[in-house]
Amino acid sequence: MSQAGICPIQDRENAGILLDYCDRKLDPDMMALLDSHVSQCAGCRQALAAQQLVWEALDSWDPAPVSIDFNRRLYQRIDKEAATAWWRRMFQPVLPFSMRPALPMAAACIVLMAVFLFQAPSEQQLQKKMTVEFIDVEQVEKTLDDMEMLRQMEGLLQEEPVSRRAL
Amino acid sequence: MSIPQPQHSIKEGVHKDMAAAIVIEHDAELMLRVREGDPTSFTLLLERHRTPVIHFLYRMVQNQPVAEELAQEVFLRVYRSRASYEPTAKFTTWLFRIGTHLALNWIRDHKKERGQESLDQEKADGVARQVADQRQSIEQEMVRQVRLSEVRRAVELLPAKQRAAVLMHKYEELEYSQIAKVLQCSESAVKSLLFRAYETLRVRLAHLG
Repeated sequence: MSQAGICPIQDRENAGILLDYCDRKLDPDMMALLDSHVSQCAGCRQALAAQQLVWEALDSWDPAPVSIDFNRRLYQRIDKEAATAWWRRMFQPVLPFSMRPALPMAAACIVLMAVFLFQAPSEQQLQKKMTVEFIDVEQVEKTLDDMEMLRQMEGLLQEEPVSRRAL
Repeated sequence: MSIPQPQHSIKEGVHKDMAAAIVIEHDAELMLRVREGDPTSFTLLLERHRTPVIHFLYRMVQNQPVAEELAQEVFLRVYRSRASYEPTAKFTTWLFRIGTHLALNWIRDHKKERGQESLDQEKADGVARQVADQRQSIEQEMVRQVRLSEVRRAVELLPAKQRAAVLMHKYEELEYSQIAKVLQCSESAVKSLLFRAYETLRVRLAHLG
């Protein structure tokens, strides 16, 4: 491989080599080749210096210390979870991870079905209801017959004075 | 212009790799013991990985209470998954995969709130450090604070995936293959992410030299 062919500045495909070179992750032959290349290539030297500057800047960023009660809070959460979600623990080994969020929904469906079944009318209640409806129909028919009979009687009463006048 | 010195020697690297291999085996072994119901092994895993996970999450979200909350969720998920744990991948890869997933989700959900929060956090950190470093002169401290806020801002402005890749590469010293597994992409994609991220940081932090 020619020295120009591995230049991370000129050849973007070899760009990752720059990081590996800085990290000393390349094999010894490649390291030697790049050492020689970098000593002659101003662009690479500049890029490496800039990379070194980035690493130094990142090194200056120290995170804050961890809270002393971190473990205690975590164990509290673990204990709380173990105490409350017995149903989750029961299903956890059976169900795959993607199906676990569906568990509360399934439980809600079961409760709804149970409520529906308990509130549905029994056979006896249904029979009673049907008898009541049957009686209602009979009553209507009887009422209609009575009305017909009354109408006929009314007709007879109206005809009577005419017959009397004729006499 | 002098050539920057490499960070590690090859001998150091070999020793580090061997030590890492022992630790990896040990992690998986501890996790298998947790699976069998040994709580002490979980405590050992927590002690070993708590700080790197919190530091990684802190640099991702740049908010200490949120980072600790997310870290709690990471370890809670590890504990919940103990029954189904299989040592197919490195334990740290699994751990950082959960952490990165949580951090990326948090960043996505709180994108709009970030501006003001990070300014407040910078002020809070500044006060804490002023108390801690009383011996330093005010001027030095101010310069340090400005540099630090610029570094934080430069990292914060990186796209979330590039940020995660840089933090895992620089601070946690994860291999490309591990970062690829965490971010669920190829190794070449990781190299590309890292190159673009460092290129952006080189431009943004050039004036600090």
